[in-house]
Amino acid sequence: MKSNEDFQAFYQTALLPIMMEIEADRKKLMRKMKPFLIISLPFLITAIGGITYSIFQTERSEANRDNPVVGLTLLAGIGALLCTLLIGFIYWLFYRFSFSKKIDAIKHRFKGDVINKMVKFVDESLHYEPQRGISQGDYQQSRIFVTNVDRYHSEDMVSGKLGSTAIRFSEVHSEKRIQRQSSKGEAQEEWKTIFKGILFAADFNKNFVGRTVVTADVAENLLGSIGTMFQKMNTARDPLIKLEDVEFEKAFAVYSTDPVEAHYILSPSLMKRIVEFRKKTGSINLSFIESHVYIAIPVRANLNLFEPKIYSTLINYDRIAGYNRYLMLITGIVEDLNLNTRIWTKE
Amino acid sequence: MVVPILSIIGFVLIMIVFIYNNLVGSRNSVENAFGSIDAMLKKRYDLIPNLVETVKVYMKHEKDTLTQVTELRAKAMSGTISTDEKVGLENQLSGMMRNVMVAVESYPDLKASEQFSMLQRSWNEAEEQISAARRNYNSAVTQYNNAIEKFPSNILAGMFNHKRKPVFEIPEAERQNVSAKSMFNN
Repeated sequence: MKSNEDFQAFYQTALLPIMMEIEADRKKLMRKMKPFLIISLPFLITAIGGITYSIFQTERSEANRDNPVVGLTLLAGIGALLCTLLIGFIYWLFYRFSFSKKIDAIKHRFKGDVINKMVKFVDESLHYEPQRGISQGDYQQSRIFVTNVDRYHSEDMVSGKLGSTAIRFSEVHSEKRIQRQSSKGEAQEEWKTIFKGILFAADFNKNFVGRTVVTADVAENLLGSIGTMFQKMNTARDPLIKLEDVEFEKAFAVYSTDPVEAHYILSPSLMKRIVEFRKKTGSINLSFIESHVYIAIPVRANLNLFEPKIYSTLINYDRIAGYNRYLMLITGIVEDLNLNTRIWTKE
Repeated sequence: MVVPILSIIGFVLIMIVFIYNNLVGSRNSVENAFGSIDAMLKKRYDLIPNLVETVKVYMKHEKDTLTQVTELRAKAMSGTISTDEKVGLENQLSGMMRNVMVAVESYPDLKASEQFSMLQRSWNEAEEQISAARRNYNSAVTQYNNAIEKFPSNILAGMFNHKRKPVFEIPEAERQNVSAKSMFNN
């Protein structure tokens, strides 16, 4: 496991020089985008000022309606507004045909050079593919989330083998469409996030055939034994299993197709390890399906991992260190859950 | 006046049915869990002949132990013994096998053998599965005992002669199955 100091040194020697280059590109792009803002700003101010002034004056007194000064201000306001829109349109054309491509190029280079190096820094055998992600099929197969998905996006896939354990993970965002009627009776569409974060999949160290899902226990914590009763009635899930680890039971609800197998997978030591791991991440969900383990780790709603910032400086150690912490945390699962212990028939 | 009384009676009846079914369900899952321990033990018994055959060739000094293991296995599988006897035999057998596995340390050739290594893995797996089955049994028993003792189901439990069941004591040696792991990593 590499320490923070290791990463700091790596950042200075390997990442910073590349980031400086990308930052130069980014600044060049900003220099091209900025004039639009600078030119449009006076027009925008005139437009807002002129129009509000004239409206305010006519509201105040009917007589002002015929006042030529007020009329001229309104005219100037409208003129300025049209100019702003025109500049906006030209900007949009530039953006559409030039800037957006440059932004993509910056992102592409950032991911290809910076993030890729960071992944390799964690472990040389890992492989990073920015465009790929855990597929929707895999997501559904994990059975962690049973809500129907209407929109699915995944990116930033990391895969490889740590010791004897094959792993892969990516950013995942799944959403559900909600139709509702507005007060005027129009149909409105809304997107509700089911899961946003990192979905991790690995080869488990024991063989098993069934399905065991470990979800964050909300109902029991809120409602106690009545919550358990509701959990037992949850038809979208397999039967509820009770395990002996008190701390684990408090944090999670376990559903499984086979109670003995659930106990076999969730050994006392693994339960302890999962509880410990949860302390680092907050609420997590896990599932064990056909000798694989899936772990879903939520990420803050407004945080898009492994992306460069375009409208502020790229050279931000904290942000990069934050990405590194995520990489360490996720790849650390193999160690944390002891997945490399291969003393059973699975090699 | 009649409607509320009827609905109260109806509610109580539904509760009684619900609790009664829950008690029966819990008792059955205890029996089921007990059965699964047997199934897992059987799996381990099946491994013994192979394992004994493999290690016999190498282990010169443990001949007696190995013969005993074979005898114990035959006894445990005979089916004519009581549950208590069986548990006793089982503990004895586990203890002996654990000794055999430790003794393997002094036979480097055996340790290096591919066949033995596979058998040892299977053995570990069987042990872990037995322990899982026991833990599952214990959690089924705990739920059953809870149902018997908690209000209001304890009233029905008393009426229908549901009795507390004892949980499995997991032997100290088995709780430390880490030792099997550490010797394997050597």
